Amino acid sequence: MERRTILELVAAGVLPGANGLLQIACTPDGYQPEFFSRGQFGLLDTLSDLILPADEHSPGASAAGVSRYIDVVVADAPTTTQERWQSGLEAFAGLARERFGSDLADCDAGQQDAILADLAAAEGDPNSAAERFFVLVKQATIDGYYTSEVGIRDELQYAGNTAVDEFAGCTHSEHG
Amino acid sequence: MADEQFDVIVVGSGPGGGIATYALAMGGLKVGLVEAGPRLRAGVDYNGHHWPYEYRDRRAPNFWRDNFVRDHFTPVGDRPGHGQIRALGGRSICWAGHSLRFGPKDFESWPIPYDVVAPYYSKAERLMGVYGYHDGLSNMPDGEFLKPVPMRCPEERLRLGVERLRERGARMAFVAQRKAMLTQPPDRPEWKHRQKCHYCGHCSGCAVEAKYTSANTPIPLAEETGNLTVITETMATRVRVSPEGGEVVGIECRTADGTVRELDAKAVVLSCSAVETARLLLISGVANSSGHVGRNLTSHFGVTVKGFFPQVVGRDASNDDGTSYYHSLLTGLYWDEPSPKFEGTYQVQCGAGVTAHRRAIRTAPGYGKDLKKRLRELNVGHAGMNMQGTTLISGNKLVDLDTSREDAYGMPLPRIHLHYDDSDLAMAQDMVEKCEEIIRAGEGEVIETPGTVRVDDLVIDLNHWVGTTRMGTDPSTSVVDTHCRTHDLPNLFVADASVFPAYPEKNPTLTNIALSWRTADGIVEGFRRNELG
Repeated sequence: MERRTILELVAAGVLPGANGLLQIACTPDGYQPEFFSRGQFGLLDTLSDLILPADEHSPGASAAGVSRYIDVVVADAPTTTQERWQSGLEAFAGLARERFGSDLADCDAGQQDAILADLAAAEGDPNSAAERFFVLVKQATIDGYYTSEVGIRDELQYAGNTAVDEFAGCTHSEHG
Repeated sequence: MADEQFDVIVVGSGPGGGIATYALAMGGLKVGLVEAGPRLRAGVDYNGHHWPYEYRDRRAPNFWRDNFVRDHFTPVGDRPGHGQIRALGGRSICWAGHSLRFGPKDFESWPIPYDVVAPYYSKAERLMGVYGYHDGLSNMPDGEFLKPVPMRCPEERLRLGVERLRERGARMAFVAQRKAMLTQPPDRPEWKHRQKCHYCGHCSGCAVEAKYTSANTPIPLAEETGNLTVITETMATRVRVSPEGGEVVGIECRTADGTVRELDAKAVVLSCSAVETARLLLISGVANSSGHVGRNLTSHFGVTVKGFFPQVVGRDASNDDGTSYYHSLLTGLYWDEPSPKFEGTYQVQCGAGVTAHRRAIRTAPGYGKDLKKRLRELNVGHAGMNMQGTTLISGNKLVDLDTSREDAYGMPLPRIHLHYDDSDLAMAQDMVEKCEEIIRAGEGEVIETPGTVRVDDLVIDLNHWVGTTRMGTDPSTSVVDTHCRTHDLPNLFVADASVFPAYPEKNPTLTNIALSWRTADGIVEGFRRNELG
């Protein structure tokens, strides 16, 4: 999602105007990836947004800073993990070029969806390098998103981790 | 020559050592409490209310994960594990607070009946502050409870599932958890160092001392009597015996800088936990004429099954924290009629809730908006069922010494042998089938299950080891007598869960505290009658 889009959504009251959200959304401009190249980082942004997109409920993975999360975690990881990300990204980038003659970010929505649908169909039993990479990047995206401020507060609407007087529990007679 | 002289030395300050220290000091005895770790300050050295995104690796602090001593044992067999907290209060700092009385049926396998321990359960519950509902169950007696904490919506669906199966004749019960946390203001003198719970869910390392620990109740109260000397950052390395070998004269201990101290006492109480108490006895070469020190080892183990209840998805799940994940319990299984397929019993700890930390649901197929919606609904509507069964006591599970490896104090490391028996696997399989049935009876969908259980699926509880100095009336097959005094040495006692001669499915700590209190009262009485000292 573009920064301008987010600002518009905030102004329209669609998105919460938390400073943190704007900060996270702005950082890719100035952020120097520690491990990935700028091109790879951009690909991760696109890909993570395809996995967990913005919807009417909350912003998506790129606005939540998921690629930054993946970048620092991989930067801190052992060499074998880093190699898995490097070769996986290469295999994945090749997929879009081979099939549609352009980078994933430049594919149209239908083309992107076709690529993702094929990879997701194989996620239970991944065989090719790109299929295995999809499983890897999907889990990292989920982990990064649901530990981010956007994922926790905006998406899950979680308001705990704080002091309250009483714990009400289930108050719906129809539930039990 | 000894540096210091005490009536009683207690080694280890966890749940057993903490309460023993309290009862001994209140009884007027001069007590030295020796603890390998430092004294920590709740809310200063550990704290709650962190957010994962405040940390580079998104791993917010967790007292247990950040503090337990790793690689201090040698594993043999099927993925054993052992956790040890070295700090004043031991694992009572990070325990989950679950406080379930063992029942009359459970004590049938012990040399003492329920009625002997019951008064100590009551005393323990009053001191600790235990909340719970009065459920009227036959083999998990109600206690002296504070205001209970209710279940969350998905847990109510599990309860509904159990109710429906009960109507069809199933013998089981689904109840809310009972935990040692103050659900009311600390208006009793024993609670003066504590606060009311504020339901933030950071119970492993409660920063406001709402949860009972040795460090916030019995130890400070004992210090206020003037009878207690707390000796921290000091490792007991040997139990010292008189030249004739007839009695204990004290302990040898060591600090991290290598200084060796000898402490004298008229009686010694070991409260180091099932693995470490056995290790210290084996290193010292005492109290083991039976050959049973380190044997009869068992812990709780299990697998996890999760369900999803679409009926509750519209609920307000903005703050499910409560007293941490488990608010409910499946129990009453095989109390009256043992299973023909396995030996022993199990219970299932159940929980639910949206959380910023552990246990969030992070698996679902697909991608895009559908995936996002599915994960949102799963987090709001899931319930987790975590089996807690007792491993079969057999020759396949024991603690001995690994003489090829030493710790920083020059002591051989313990070796934990764990080889699951067929009975263990059969028990886990039974749990999986029962839990799937309950989820479906509550009109839910099974979203996570091992299906057919393999040994690799089994997870051992790192903290629930018991049995290594078992209680018995026959000195040739047990290590301690019914007052937890070693058969071999009249002034050496064990006050921790290693004395359990049989282990039900219920969590060990409340029984450890009740029994250790009783043991300490026996020691006070022994001094009064001049049998000790």
